[in-house]
Amino acid sequence: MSASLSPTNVFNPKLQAGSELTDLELVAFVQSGDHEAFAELVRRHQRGLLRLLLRLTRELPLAEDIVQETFIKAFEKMDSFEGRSSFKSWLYQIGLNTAKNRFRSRNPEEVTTDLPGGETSSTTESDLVRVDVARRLREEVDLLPDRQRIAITLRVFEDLSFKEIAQIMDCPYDTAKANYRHALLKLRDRFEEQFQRSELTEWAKLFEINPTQFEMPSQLATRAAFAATPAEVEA
Amino acid sequence: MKAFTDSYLIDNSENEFDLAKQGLQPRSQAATDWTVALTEEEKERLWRIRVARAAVKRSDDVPLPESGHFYNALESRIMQRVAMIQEQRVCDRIEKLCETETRVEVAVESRIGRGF
Repeated sequence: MSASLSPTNVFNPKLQAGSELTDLELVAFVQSGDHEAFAELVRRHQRGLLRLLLRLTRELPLAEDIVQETFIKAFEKMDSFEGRSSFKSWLYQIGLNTAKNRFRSRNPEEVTTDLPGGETSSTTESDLVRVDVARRLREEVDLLPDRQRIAITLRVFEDLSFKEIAQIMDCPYDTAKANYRHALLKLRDRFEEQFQRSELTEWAKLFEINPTQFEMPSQLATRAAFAATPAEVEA
Repeated sequence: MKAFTDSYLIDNSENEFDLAKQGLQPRSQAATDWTVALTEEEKERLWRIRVARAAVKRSDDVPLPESGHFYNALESRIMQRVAMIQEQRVCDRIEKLCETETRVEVAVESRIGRGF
């Protein structure tokens, strides 16, 4: 919490040390009419929410607009928040629904798949190839059915747990997991088409991964070497 | 011998990520624990799943605004709207109180008029 003291929190020493408060404690302050506590929630979650919405919308002004609308809706609905999920999951759920509504009411021709600032100024051939492959992968993610796309976005890009994903998508845990699995398998199949055409070392270069990690398991000398692969691939 | 499905491979692979995220177990150690039972063919499928996941993750660099000014401005806009909502709520409450007061006045006057 910043050092700013509003008339609402000046007598509340606990709120003045807002950085030590949990989200749920801040929510309780907001529910009792303290809007400075809400400002702290905004500061905590605006970046994460913007990143998620930017991945889904691909447009900074639109994502920014939805972030704003999401927080306003959250403030308006704050009394109905019962703390059964984390504040973050609840907020992201509102953000996701707001984004869906926006897309529903939007002219499809206006929707762009370009990432803001996604174009590179680099002119080297490998950079151009990398950008091209990354763009095609992003397009593959965009082509997934909505629920699969959201599940893989929340899991792979946002590193959320399946419990959180289920809360945000408002579905059972197993459904969230199944959506993720289907998405990943679909992407693997599409990805393997790329593998047929590309040298493994080329992929390693494209994704800045050590080429030795791209040996096939059957070619690996020891089981220990294979066991180390996922950590290094993900690193 | 029972063959492991892709779902099994994905679920266990994801468990590794969760464990590593929580710092409970080194990822490579977690991998050793369950991959020993896999056949070469299953290991190859698992490997492809992991590579696909890593590549997808690396394919999407979202360029978030870095400037603190951007976030301050966003927060400021949100809080301005919040202040307006609060102001509106106060106005609505006052309006309701006024309506109640008016109803009471009308009722009293009506009773006085009837010689109460």
